[in-house]
Amino acid sequence: MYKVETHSVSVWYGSYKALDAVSLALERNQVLALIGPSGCGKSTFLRLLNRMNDFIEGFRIEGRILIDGEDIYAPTVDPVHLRRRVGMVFQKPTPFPFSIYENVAYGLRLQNRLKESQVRERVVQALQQAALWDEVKDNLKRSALSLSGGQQQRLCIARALAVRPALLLMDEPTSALDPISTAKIEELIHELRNSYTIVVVTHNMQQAARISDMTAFFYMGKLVEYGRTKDFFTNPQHPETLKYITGRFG
Amino acid sequence: MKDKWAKRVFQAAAGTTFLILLGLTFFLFREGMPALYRSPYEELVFAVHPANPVQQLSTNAVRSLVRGEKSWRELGGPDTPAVAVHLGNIERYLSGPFLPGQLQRKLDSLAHLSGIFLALPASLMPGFAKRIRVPWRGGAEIFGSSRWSPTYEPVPAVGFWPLLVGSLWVGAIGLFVVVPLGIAMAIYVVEFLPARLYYPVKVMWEVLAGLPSVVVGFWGLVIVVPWVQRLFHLSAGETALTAGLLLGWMTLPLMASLVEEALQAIPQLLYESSYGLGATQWQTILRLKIPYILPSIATATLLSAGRILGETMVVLMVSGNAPILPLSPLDPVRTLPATLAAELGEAPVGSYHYHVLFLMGVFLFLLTLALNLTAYFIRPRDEKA
Repeated sequence: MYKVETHSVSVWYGSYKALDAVSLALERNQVLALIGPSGCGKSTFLRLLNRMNDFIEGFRIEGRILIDGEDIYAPTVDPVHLRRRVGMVFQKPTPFPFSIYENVAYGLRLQNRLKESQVRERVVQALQQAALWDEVKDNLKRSALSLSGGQQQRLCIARALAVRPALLLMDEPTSALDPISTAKIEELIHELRNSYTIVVVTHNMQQAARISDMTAFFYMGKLVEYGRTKDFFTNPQHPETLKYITGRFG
Repeated sequence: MKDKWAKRVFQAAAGTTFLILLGLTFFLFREGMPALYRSPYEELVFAVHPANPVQQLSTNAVRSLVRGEKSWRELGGPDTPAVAVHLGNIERYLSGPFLPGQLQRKLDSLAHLSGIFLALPASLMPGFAKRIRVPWRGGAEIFGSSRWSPTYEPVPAVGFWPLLVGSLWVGAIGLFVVVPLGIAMAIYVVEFLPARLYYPVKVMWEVLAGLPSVVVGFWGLVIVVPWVQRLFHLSAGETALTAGLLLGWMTLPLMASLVEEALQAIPQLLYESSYGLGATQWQTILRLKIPYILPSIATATLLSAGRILGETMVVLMVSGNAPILPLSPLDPVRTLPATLAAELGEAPVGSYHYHVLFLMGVFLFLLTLALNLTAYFIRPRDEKA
């Protein structure tokens, strides 16, 4: 069974068609990179997977999206429950104005089912997974806003991991970071692949080539090309893909 | 060339504003400070019967002696009933039209009363009387006394406490109304109000904010006062509660706008992060948004408090105007600004009453200045999350 499957998914915002019949399938423990010029629909696609687009007025979807075989737009699905299974990291670090500990515990406390000792265990684990533990273990009570940008982004990854999502979404997670922090995040994505399935939007083709197993190229709302990253960058099948990855537009 | 003139005009405007502010402050202090070192009865002389051993009386002793609450014996004087003669009751000693000399003869004829107490201008003081001292300690009278009766003869009572406590009751009740309601209104508008109703609602806020306070006061007098009276079975509906409710309601647009602004300024990615972790809308509001805007809520509360404490017209109309120490919110009260408005017109310029009202103005000015400065210093800085 595929981790994520989409079957001819189209999306409208009002009368504007943002995605046109996108079909793809992603296996477990793989990293999928979504690339394409601004406005091509890659972020829209990413936000479909945790139903973040539901907030936008005039949003409408056709087609089916399955995560672990379950249709996430079925009427019986509560988007709140879906989002507990699908973590998300944004293009800028978004630490809450609380302590490091409370940031990571935020998602855990929403469900109110864990004892404080369990919360603590999961917080520590998530910080370790996000490769932040060594830098913050001495003072988890520090304000999250006092961390550097790169640390904040890893904190946000830890926060998403703490609720043990089935799928992790990242929307240009390094676009606001310096090269060293970016390298750390990329390394982290590489390690997280062992236990998570990850979908990453990126503007940076080298990054897509470095971190992903699969690459999807979107252009004007269409999925133009989708394949293994190795083949994608060495032997693109579509002329548009070739033009984009060689930097002739976008 | 034009720019240079424009710059000068702006400089002049800014400078004028600053000078006016400076001048106002200076004037307020200059007129208020004499209340601390001058005495309200500088032109009066106090005297008793020569056989009376008392040399000095406190202001409180004089008040209770005049009101008949204390006897001479309790104050160290003779065992005879006190007879007080002062400008407030001197007409009793005049029969018929005022004739020169008549009053003097009448006062002289009181020499046989060993319990006599006289508080008169030196020119009227009869020769037989022995002068005593009644020292006036301005600071203690103003900040230590719980009575406000600034025209009481012969010794006025000018304690700020009843008025300050009145202001505090009204302010507390007003904040009790405006803070939760203002936050609730702001959350409703930001989170739940359909977009097409946003501008109509905002226009309504502006209208409410722009209502002349005398209109609000009139509405309160006709509607809220009888309502409070019936609800609590009071003899009069003009209470601290009535004024507090109306002031809280009047301040709602300010409070709600400030909180709404803070809510709108929360970065989208920040609350999307909360939703992304599986938070419901209410969880996001209660666990992220409200904690996030707490500094703004504190600022908005202080600014609202300043507004409520400074409001005059409505309190004057619906608070009952009783300058007595209020023990419950259902007592009639008078606030500091209402007192200024009510009494400044009838206080002769340069009189002690006039100075003490200005001192009250200084006090009110410092109070609101402190509130506004605190609000300024705790306001959230532009901190990008």
